[in-house]
Parts: sequence; C-alpha cells; structure tokens
Amino acid sequence: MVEFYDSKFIDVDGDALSYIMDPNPGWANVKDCGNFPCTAPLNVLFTFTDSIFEGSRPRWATPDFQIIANNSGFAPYIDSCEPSEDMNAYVCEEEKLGVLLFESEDDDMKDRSMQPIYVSKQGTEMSNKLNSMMDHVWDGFYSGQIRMSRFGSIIEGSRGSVYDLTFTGTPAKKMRFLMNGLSRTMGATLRIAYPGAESRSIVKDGTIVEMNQWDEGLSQYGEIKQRFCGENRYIGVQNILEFYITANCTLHIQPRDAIQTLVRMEWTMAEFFADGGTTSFVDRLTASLGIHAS
Amino acid sequence: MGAWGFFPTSEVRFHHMTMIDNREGFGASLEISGAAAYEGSLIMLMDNKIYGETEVTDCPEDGSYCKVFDKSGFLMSGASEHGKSLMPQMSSALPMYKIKSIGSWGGVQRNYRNEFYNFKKTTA
Repeated sequence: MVEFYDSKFIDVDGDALSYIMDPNPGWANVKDCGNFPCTAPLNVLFTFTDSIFEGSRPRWATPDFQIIANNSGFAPYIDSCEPSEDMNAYVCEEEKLGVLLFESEDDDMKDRSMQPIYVSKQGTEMSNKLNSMMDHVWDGFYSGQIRMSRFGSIIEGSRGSVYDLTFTGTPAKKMRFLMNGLSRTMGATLRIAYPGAESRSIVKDGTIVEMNQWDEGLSQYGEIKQRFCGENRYIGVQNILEFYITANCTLHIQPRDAIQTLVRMEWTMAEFFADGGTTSFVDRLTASLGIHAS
Repeated sequence: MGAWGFFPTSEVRFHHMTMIDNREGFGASLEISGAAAYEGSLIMLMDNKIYGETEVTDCPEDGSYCKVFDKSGFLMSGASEHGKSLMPQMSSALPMYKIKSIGSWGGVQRNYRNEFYNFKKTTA
C-alpha cells in the first residue's frame, strides 16, 4: 500500500499519472510461482489525499482518489472505479479500499500450498484469485521449491461487507490476518470454510476473543454484527469460521480443542443421570455419529 | 535511473531531491525480516521535485541523437526479507538473477508534498 499526501501535479496528463504492470506470464513455472503468475501486482493500492493539480490535468482530477490495478476479479465490481486503459489501472473515489494481508503460521508455512485462494464479496460476482509468494530460494543448481504462504488482497471494506475466502488447498491451522487501510471505519466479515470438524478460535492481542452468544432462534452462535475487531463465531457442521476485522487490526486464528454441532445440550445433573447418565449419552452420541462406543 | 537504495533497516527517508528525465524513477527498498517485520517498516519520500519532459528533448531536430524511453517519476518501493550485498563475497541462497527474497509482512510507503512536473502520455 502506497500513500501520497499533498502531492502536486503540474502539467501531468491523466494517462501518464501511473502504469501498473500485469503479473509477468513467465512467472508461471515451477521455480517461481507455480501454475499461474504471482498476484501481488494485481493487488496494489495507491491512495492520494489532498492532491493539487495545475496546468493540464486528468479529466478525473480530484484531491482525494485511489489507483488500483486492472484486476478483472476485483476492480470492475467497485462502483466508483473507472478503468484507464493507458494506465492499465482503475481510478477510484472509494476511501474504504485497503489491502488484506494474511499468512500461515504453521510449521509448514513454506512447504505446503493453499493457493489459489479466491476472495469473493457476497452479493457480487467478485472473485480475486490469489497466489502466494514467489519462490526466491536457490539451492545450488536447483530452485528451493520453498514458497511462503503469505497473501495480499485488495479489498473494499464498506459497512456490511462480507467476504468468502475459498482455499483450494487445506487452510493452515494457524493464521495471521491484517487489514491495511486509511479509513477508520472500514472493516469486513471474513468467512473461511474448513474441511474438518475441528473448531477455531480468534486471538487478538494474545487473548482469545470469545464467540458470540448462542442464539436459540438460530440454533447456533449469534451472527456477526460487525461491532468490534475480532467478533467471531464458528458454525458447526458446516465448519465455517466467521470473524470481523477492521483497518489496522491484527488477528490470529488458532485451533480450538472442540468439535461443534448445531445442537445445544443442557440438562440438570439429576435429569442427566436419571436418564442413563454417561453410558446412555455416549451410546446415543456414538450411534448418531456412526462410530463404535468403545 | 534516479536514486535507489536497499537498506537493512526498518525506516528510510528520501527528501528534498530533484529528479529529471529518469527512465526508471526513484525509490527505496528495505531489508527486514523476523519479528521486526511485524512491528512495521516505513519508506518515506517527501518534498521532492520530479520532472518528466524538459527543454532537453530526447530527439533534437538536428538529428544528432534520438533515444526515446518511457519515463518514470517513482518506481514502486518495497520491503523484502533478504537481499544481496552490492559486492557479494560468498555464494548466495538467491538465484543469480535475483537481488531480493520474498516480500516482508509489513512495509508502508508514505509520500509527502512531492511535486511532479510535465509527465505526458508519450515522451518527446
């Protein structure tokens, strides 16, 4: 993310204000980026604040604007962004643009791939395809085949934004998230579907952020209201983690030693033991899961 | 190219510089890794004047020379975890053709009060 403040443009044509290169197709090889080019150039963000234009100027000249890449999976879905063919970019007036950074914190962060990852905003056709870091390691004659599972995604975080992060590989158990942005009010709910039943926790400033209260009407934990950074819930059975992140807030995901269902069970101790106690409970639970009680 | 640097630090500032007729623009790169990268790093370019086209043309009418290139004011800066020294004294884990490793977690570029003069769609 690149921030410009109080810039002055004197006799600068609109077509000449910037040029954002596309990812090099030649990066799509085993020793660099894998099956498709690395995606950092498609996810850059230039923000301009209190700019001054003098002399010849772009048609769209305004003090506050943003320039983003010609990313077909993102830019066309932002209403205030207009394409500029000569700049290979889009010019926007959307203060809630930012860059979402996330990475694996597992031990195999440089050995196991999770990409491509698709970042999609609900209610739109947006589908921003992400690749991880380029392989920069050289081990004698061979490339290292070591790539950091670290990702950057351009994002628009207006109120109510909900994004699905679809991992085509198994998501890391532990992850770090940060949303970079200039607007203090930007934020987004992120949803990650996991292939296993193990629940997840959100950690902020070293402390686990408790999930929302159980909602009897929904028969699951209460939906995300976008009230504070770290607000979260794990939807059992569907195995979807939902959490809310705001600008310049760092969150971590870590495994939670629990398997969640969509049923909340609650008895008094007397009622529980009067109806067979632990033996009956285990028998019924294992029968419903289709496993042996031993 | 204008001024460029690759510094093993968490912050660098270029200020009060004048750049004229640059082919690749100017900026800076940081080398920062480990825990320090997560605490943030900053590249700041401020109070600079950057000129594109000037009275000195790339193709004078007398035909004595004609060298036309795309011109850039800024080249995008960045932070990476490792890089090569200017004068390598031992074999590197980086390929021959690469001078830097993966991008760092942090890294923000902030630019204040820079002035850009006379950049056109095509060079003259």
